[in-house]
Amino acid sequence: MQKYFEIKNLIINYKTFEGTKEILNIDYLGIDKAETFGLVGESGSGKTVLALTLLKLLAVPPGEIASGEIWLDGENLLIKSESEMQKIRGNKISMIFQDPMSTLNPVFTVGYQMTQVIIKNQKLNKKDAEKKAIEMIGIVKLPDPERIMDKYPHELSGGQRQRIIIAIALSCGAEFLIADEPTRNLDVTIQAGILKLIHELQKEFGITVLFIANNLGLVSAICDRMGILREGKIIEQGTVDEVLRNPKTDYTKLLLKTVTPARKKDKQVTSTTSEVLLEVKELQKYFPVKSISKATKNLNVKAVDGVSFTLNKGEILGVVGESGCGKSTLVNTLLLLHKPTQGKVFFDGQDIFALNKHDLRKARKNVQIVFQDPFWSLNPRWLVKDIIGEPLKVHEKLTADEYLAAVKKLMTMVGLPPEGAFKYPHEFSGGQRQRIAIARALSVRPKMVVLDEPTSAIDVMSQAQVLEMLEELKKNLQLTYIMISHDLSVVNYMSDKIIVMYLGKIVEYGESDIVFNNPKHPYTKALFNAIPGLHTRNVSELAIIKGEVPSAINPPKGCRFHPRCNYCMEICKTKEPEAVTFEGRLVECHLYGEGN
Amino acid sequence: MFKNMISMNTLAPKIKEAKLSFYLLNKNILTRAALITVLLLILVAIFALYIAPFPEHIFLGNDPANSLNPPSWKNLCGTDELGRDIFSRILYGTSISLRAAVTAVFFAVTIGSFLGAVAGSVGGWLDELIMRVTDIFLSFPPLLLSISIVALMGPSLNNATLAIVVSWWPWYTRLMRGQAISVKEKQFVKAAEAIGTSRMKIIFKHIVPNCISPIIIQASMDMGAVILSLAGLSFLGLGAQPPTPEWGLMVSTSKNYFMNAPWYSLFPGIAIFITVLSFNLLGDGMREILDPKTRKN
Ligand SMILES: Nc1ncnc2c1ncn2[C@@H]1O[C@H](COP(=O)(O)OP(=O)(O)O)[C@@H](O)[C@H]1O
Ligand code: SF4
Ligand SMILES: [Mg+2]
Repeated sequence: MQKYFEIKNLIINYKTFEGTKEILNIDYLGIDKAETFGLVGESGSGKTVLALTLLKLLAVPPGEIASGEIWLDGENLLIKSESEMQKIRGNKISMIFQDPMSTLNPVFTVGYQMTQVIIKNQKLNKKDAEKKAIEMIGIVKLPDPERIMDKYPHELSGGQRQRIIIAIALSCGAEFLIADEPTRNLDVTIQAGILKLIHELQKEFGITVLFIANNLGLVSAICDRMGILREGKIIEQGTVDEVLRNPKTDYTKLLLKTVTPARKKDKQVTSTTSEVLLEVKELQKYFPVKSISKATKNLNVKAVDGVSFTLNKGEILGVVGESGCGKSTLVNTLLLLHKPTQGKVFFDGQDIFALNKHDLRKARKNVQIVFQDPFWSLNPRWLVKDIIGEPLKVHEKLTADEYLAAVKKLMTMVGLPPEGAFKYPHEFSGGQRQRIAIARALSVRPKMVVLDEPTSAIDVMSQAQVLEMLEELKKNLQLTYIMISHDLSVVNYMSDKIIVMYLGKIVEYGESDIVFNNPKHPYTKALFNAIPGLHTRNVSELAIIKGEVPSAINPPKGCRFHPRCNYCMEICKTKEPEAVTFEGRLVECHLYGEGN
Repeated sequence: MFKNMISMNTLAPKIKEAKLSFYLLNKNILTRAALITVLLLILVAIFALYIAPFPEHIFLGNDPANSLNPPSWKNLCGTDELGRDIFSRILYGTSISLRAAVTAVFFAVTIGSFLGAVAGSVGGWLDELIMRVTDIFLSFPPLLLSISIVALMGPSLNNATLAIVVSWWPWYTRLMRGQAISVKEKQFVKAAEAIGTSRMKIIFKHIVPNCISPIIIQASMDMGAVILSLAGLSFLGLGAQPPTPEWGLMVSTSKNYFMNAPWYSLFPGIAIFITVLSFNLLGDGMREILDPKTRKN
C-alpha cells in the first residue's frame, strides 16, 4: 500500500571542482498522512539538502538528482515542471527554515508579506486576505495580531518570526509541512512554545509534518515515527519508541548516550580547593543607546546590572539564562573586552580594573576565552598554526622550531592531527574548529578559561566529545572554568556551581546539584522544565514562560520577572527582592523572603 | 632543511587557494574571456616594441606620402596624418595606459585603504578627522577635481596620473573603513584582544587581511574606469602630450580627420572599449569568488 509521502531510491550528488560526491542515498522513506515524522542527523548529514530537494529548490548545479522518485499524495514530484512545482510549493508543501529571517523580506511589513502570499495562493481580494492574515497570526498565538501586521521582520524576536513563518505556511492550506531545525537558534523556553504550536496545529488541521532536527530530545517530544540520517543514508527508521528504546545500529546507540540532560558526570570530588580565584563585586555594564531622538538619548541598555559571585580554584561555574540576559556581556566585561560601568573584579587577589596597560597585557595570559561561534572566532585568512600560536607569539619568545613543536603538541592535546597545522580553518568541521579555539586558549597556560557557549554551534556528537575533552584538560592542567550555555543539559553535566541570570541580574546561585535537583526561583523552574529530553513523550509536559523577555533598557519595576511570573504577588510589582539564602542556595524572589 | 619544509608547508595551502580561485575564475565563460583578454593586453604591453610592425613609428616617423592611408595588410589600422602606422601605436599605447592606470590605482588603493583601515579600526577622533577629509574630497565631482589639479600643475601624463590618485583614494578609504568596522566586531578580533595582541598587529594582521577582498574587487573594477579617465584627460589635452601614442590623445587628434579617415578614430576607440570592458567583466567575476564565506567547498 502506498503511503501519503514516499521517497524511493533517491540519490543526490554534489559536483565540486574536486569531483562528484554522493550526499544523499535514500532507499526508502515513508510517512503516513497526519503523522509527524522526525529526521535526526548531524549537520552535514544531508538534512537540508533533502528538505530542499522535496521542494525542488536544490541548486542544480552543483547539486544533481541522479535518480529516484518522491511521491506526495500519489504524484511524483521529481517529474513535475517548475510551473507545476510553484503551485505545489506553498499550497501543498510548505517549509519552515532554520533561520526565519532568510525567509522574510526585511523591507516589507509582516502583514504585507502575508497578504501577498494569501492573495497569490488563495485568490482572495485584499481585504479578505488581510482578514485571513490577522486570523492566522491569532492561530499561531501571537498577541495583538493587528499590531504585528504593521511590524517589520527585524522588529520581531526570533520566536515570533518563526511563528509568522508557520502562519504563512498554514495560511495557504499547506498539508505537508517541512520543518528544518525550526528551533535551532532559539532559547529553550521559546523552543518549547514553537514545539507545542507545531504539535497543536498538526492535531487541529491534520497536517503531515517532516520534522528535521539534530537532537533526539526534540524528536522524542513531538514525533510519532522517526528516522536517523547518517552520511546521506537512513540507517534506521521506526516508531519513536522502537528507535529510542531498542536502537539497532551502533550509531543510534551512541547518539542516545550523548544526549545529556538526565546524565550527570560522576562528580568525584575534583581538586576543588577553597582558594578563591575570582571575586566579582556588584559588577555593572551599561551600553549607551545610540539614538538621535531626544527621548532616548541618555538611556542605557542595562546588560549586566549588579552581579556578585566568587569562584574557587578548580571549580566550574555554569551561567545560564535566555539569550540577551547578559551572559556574554558579563564575561566580556570580566575579560575587559568591555569597559565596566561599575564594580570590582579581583582575580588571584589582583584588582584587574586598576591595572595599567602593561600589567593588563600580562594578566590577560591568565584568563582566556573560547567563543560560541567557531566560524568567526578563528581568523579565516590565517593558517591553523598561526591561530593556535598567536598567544605564544605575543607572550613568549620562541624559535621557529620550538614554536612549531609547541603548536603541534597543543594540537595533539586537543585531539587534532598535527598535520592540520598547515591548513585553513574552513577545512575543519565545527567541532574541530572549536578544538582549535580551545588549543589557542590553552597555549599560554591560563589559570582560568571562559567558555561562552562552547558547544552550541556544533553537533551533538562532537559536543559530547568536546565536553569530555574539556573535562580531561581541566583535570590535567588544573584549570578553572566559567561556562556559559543556554543549553542547560550542558551546564548540568559540567558545572559545580551555577548562576541563573535574568535581565542582567542573578536570580539563583548555588551548588549545581542543589539548584538542578530542586530549583526554587520560578524562572529557574520554568527554564528547567522547558527542555525536552528523551523522557518527554508529550510536548504538553514542557513549560512555557508567557510573553517575551522585556527590554533591558527599561526593565520592569520591582522583580524583573514579575510580568511573566505565575506566582507574582502585589509586592513583586513594586519591591525588588533581595538575595536570600534558602535551602543552600541564594535566590532573589519574594516567595523566599523572611517569614516564608 | 626543516626551515625549508616549513615554507613549503606554508606555501602548499596558499597554492591550493590560488588554484581554486583560478578554477572559479575560469568557470564563468564571460569572466574567462575577460581574463584571457586582460592577460593578452598585459603581454602586448610588455612586448609592444617587439611585436609592433613599425616600432619606429611609435613616437616619431614622418612619412607624408603615406599619411591617412586606409587599413591595408601593411597597415592593419591604417596610418595617421604623419604617415605613422596606427596599429603599432595602439599596441604601444597599451603599455602606456596600463602602466598609468596600474600606478594610479596602486597609490589610490594603498593610501585610501591605509587611512580607511586606521579610521575603521581605531575609531574616535582619528576616524572623525580622516572621514571629514575624505568627505571634502568626495564633495568635488571627480573629473572636475582631476582637471583642476592638472590645470594647476601643468598637463602631462604623470600629473594626470597623480590627479586620478587624488580624486580616487577617498573611495577606498570609505570602503575599507566600512569593512574594518564590520570585521572589528568579529569574534576572532575579540579573541586576539583577549590574548593581549597589540593594537597595530590586530589592525594589520587580523582586520586588514579580512577586508582586502572587496578592495581588490573594487580596484579591478576601477581599472577600467581609470583607463577611461586617463584617456579622457588626454583627449582634453590635459594628459599625455604628443607624440606619445596614448589612446585618448590619438582619438583627440583623429577628430580633425574624421571625415576623411574614420578608421583613425575607430581603432584607438575600440582599444579603449575592449580594455575597459575586459577589466569590468573581470572585476565582476572576481567579486563572485573572493568571498571566503560563499565557498565552503
Ligand atoms: N556592544 C553592545 N552594545 C550595545 N548593547 C549590547 C552590546 N552587547 C550586548 N548588548 C546588549 O546587552 C544585553 C545582553 O547581551 P548579551 O550579554 O550578549 O546576552 P547573552 O550572552 O546572555 O545572550 C542585550 O540586550 C544586548 O542587546
Ligand atoms: S519575586 Fe515575585 S514575581 Fe519575582 S519571581 Fe518571585 S514570585 Fe515571581
Ligand atoms: Mg551570548
